[in-house]
Amino acid sequence: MALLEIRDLRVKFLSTGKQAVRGVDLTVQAGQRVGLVGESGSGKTVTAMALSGLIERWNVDMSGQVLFDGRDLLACSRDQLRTVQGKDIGVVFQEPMTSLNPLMRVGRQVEEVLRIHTDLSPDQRREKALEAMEQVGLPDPARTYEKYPHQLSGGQRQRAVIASAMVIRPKLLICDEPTTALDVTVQAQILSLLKSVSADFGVAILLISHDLSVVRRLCESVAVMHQGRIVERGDTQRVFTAPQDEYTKRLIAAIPTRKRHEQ
Amino acid sequence: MKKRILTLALTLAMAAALFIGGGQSVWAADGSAGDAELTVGIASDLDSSLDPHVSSSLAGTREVLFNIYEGLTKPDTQGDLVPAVAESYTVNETADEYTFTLREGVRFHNGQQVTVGDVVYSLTRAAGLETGEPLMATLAGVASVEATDDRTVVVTLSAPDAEFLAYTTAAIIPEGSDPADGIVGTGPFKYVSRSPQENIVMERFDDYWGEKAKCAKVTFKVVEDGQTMVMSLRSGAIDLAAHLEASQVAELADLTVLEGSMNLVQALYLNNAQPPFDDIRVRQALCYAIDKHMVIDLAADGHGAALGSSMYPAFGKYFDEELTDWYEPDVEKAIELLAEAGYTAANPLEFTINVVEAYTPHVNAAQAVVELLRQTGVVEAEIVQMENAAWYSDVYQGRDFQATLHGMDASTLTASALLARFVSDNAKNFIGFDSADYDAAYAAALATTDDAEQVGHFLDCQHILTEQAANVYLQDLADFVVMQPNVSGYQFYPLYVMDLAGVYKTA
Amino acid sequence: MLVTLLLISLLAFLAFQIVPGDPTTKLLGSDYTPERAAALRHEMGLDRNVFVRYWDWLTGFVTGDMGASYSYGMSVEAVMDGKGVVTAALSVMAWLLVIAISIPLGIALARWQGRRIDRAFVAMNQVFMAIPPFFLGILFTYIFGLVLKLFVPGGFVGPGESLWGFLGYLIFPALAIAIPKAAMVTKLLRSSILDQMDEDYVRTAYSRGNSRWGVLRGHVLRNAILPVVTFVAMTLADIVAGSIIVEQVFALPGLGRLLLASIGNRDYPVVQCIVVIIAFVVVFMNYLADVVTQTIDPRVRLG
Repeated sequence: MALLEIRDLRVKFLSTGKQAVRGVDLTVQAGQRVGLVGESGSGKTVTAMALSGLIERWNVDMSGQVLFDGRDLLACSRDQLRTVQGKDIGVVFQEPMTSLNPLMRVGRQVEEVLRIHTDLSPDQRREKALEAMEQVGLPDPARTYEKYPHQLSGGQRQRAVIASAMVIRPKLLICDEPTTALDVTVQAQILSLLKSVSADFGVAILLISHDLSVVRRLCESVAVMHQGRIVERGDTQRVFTAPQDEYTKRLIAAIPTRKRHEQ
Repeated sequence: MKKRILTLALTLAMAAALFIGGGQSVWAADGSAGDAELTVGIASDLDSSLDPHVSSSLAGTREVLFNIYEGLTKPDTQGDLVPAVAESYTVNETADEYTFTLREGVRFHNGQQVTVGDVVYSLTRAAGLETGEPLMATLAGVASVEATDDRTVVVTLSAPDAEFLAYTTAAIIPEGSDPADGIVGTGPFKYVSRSPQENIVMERFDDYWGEKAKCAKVTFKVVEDGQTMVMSLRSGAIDLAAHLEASQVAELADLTVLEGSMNLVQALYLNNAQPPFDDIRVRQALCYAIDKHMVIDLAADGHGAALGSSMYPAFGKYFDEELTDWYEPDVEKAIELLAEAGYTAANPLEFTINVVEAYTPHVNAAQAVVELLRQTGVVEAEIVQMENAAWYSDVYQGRDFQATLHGMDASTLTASALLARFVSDNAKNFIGFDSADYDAAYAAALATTDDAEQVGHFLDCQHILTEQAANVYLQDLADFVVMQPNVSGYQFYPLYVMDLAGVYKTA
Repeated sequence: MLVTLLLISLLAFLAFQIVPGDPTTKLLGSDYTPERAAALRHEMGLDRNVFVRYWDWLTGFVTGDMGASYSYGMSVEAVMDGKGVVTAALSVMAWLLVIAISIPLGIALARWQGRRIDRAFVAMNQVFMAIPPFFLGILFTYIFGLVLKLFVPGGFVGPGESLWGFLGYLIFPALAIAIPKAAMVTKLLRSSILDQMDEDYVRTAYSRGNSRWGVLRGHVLRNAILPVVTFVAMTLADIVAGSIIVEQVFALPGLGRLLLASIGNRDYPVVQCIVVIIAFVVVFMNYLADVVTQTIDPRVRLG
């Protein structure tokens, strides 16, 4: 059984009436790294939010199934969903600058997920948090634990976010543009960190990105989204070398120019 | 069953207690001293020290101190002077030497007997004989005060004054004492304490020479806000309050309401020394244009006594009713007079009326006046409300005003208390009234010892004020006293005083 | 802080030079003559240079001598005796009520945002914010005092007579002051929480499995309270200065009434003393707000 199986997911925003996702099927096996690529507005982030339960349900009309470990998350109540959130599904967001609470010590945020989902004592939690911080390569974890987000650099903050998601060893890590806000060298470091984390702990990763080159460096398999649908999917290498869909071809053709542009 | 019997017994016991309690109160009402405590609401704090020789100009303070201090004489409810610390007096034929015999057994609140030394000290101090600066302007005519034996004091005046007796209400205090260090008098109540802006407390003086006060303790509570005063009366937090307005009384129908008069001359006082009111035609025009009965109806719901000169009805023989409607309301005539003075609809008479904002009866009257004047079509008056202190310094002392709506009261029951201020060189002549006839009539009144003649001169003075249209006289305001239903015994005086000695409470 | 207080006291001192009337006016009343006034002014030392008098006052004040009241013939301390307690108790009670009402309510409304109860409260809040305290005061006296008889209007009891009676009497005046302020704080807190709810860290917190309440309590509240802290602190200063009107309505013998009367009497020593007290409260609460902000927000501490 696949770890995550999305079947015919459709999402429509009630407030704007926009049909953001128009029937997506996607499968992620345990430990697999899958990329979901597309331009902004293609529906990739909405898909990720829908399956992580972070979408505001009162504002959307959703149909289809999101089977996680055989359980349909869309059919779960909010309370049932919370037992999965953080524990089995971790999320790393795009903006490391703002995705941490500015008034809470970094260590406390890293271990929060343990406080919510485990019975560990504060000391045990701290120990685990320090370990996770060490694993993501944060310097001097004991000191960093006591620091506030604004005292860390952008890359360090993203490492802290990753640590806070990884500390409980979830089965799936959803990374929504985890490197977009970082400069190129740091980008590379974070990507290799994610790769090693996935390999070392057997964590599956669903990487959401507009940037094919990023996906290529991390993911074994990729799905390309366009206007709420998946237009092409397959082995990353294959999609890169022999794209079949016109849109995928345009996307690949755009890489070098955009790269230059970014630098 | 047992329980019911017990209840019955308790009920009977309570009824009995009530009955006995009621009996005691009736006994108190008979004139014997009770132990009730009375809370009296006053609308403004007593400012300045409670020195009776200094604060005598402040009406609110005077009415409270009336209960604590006494002079050789004191006024009764009819306005007649009755002996107090003195037992009797004689006056010589030229009315410049008054001889007082002290009453025996009069004690100060500190327990000491009142001696001639105390009387000489008090009058000397109040008349400023040693400093040359009288503390009380009414005693400025005193030349000397001497004790001829241990019960007799002779007061000599520098000029004859048939009215002098009225000024001997000046408080008697212990020899050598200064009220700043302690308030000691001989009145029916003794001073206990005060807290600024909060209260003044006094207790019955059990060694009082006359009829003892009926309440054991009186607390004057300062309640500046009119609405709060009404609420406090309704809630029972205050037993008695004087000087209420008709609108306040309307909300207090279930309580006892007494109507008297404020004993003051409310008028639109005009600055006779400055344009536009240096012109008699303009002043008379206002008198014709302002229907005082209408003002009383509009501003005071019809409560109040119309006045036509600087005198109010409580003064009895000095009050001349004929003057009240000397100027029949006549808008045409007003317009005519104003036209003569150069004011037309195209060039209207414009002036300001200064009013102390805290005195709502005056503010209300001023609004009515402005409205009546506007109806002539040639007068545009504007009200300027001001603080009391600013009014005193700018209007009263600085004489920098055109017109002001205010009330003038009498500190003693003498015609001169109301009329002296219009003598051309009088320091209090803030309207700058200047009439040789008036000065002569006033001087003649003071010079004579014949009562009828003196009354005649004082009436002449009033006629001159009216004919000259010195001010636009309006009314003596109605004074409402409201008491809880269980409080009785309040009596009005023709002066601005609040006598609480006779007030008592029943259960 | 000291400089601010000095400046305020000097300004208050100078302000009295501009307004018409001086203490002699009221003291002499209708016995006023320019000569008497001049003599009295000399006796009271009022004819000296204003800065000399200010210096005199200042040196007296710092050595604990607040001078004598012009209009009551007693020391300023004696005049103020017992009144500071009333105003302080009233203000602190009103302030605690503001906090006790607005913080739970602001949080609750933010939690129920968009629901009918939230919309109803937001509309009501608008009304409460606009109600002047004196009107509430009169309303309370009428409803709670005369109709429900929960207290006796005008029946103030001093703290010396009965502490509970004293505090009991203060509840309604305090409420009359507190309600409009609480409405303001509620509104501020509610919108601050809602602003924070849109922040990225809130999404992160949800992604960890926090409940809405967990997010609110654990993350949002601390952030949302920041802009409210200063406002709440200054509310106390506002309450102290604004207690004047409510003291009038409820016949409370507090500093506010004394201040008003003393301004009318041109009783500078009393006014000066009360102004310095109020200024101190303002300055102190400002300082306190800074301290609290700094403890909550590490960015302010280091930056």
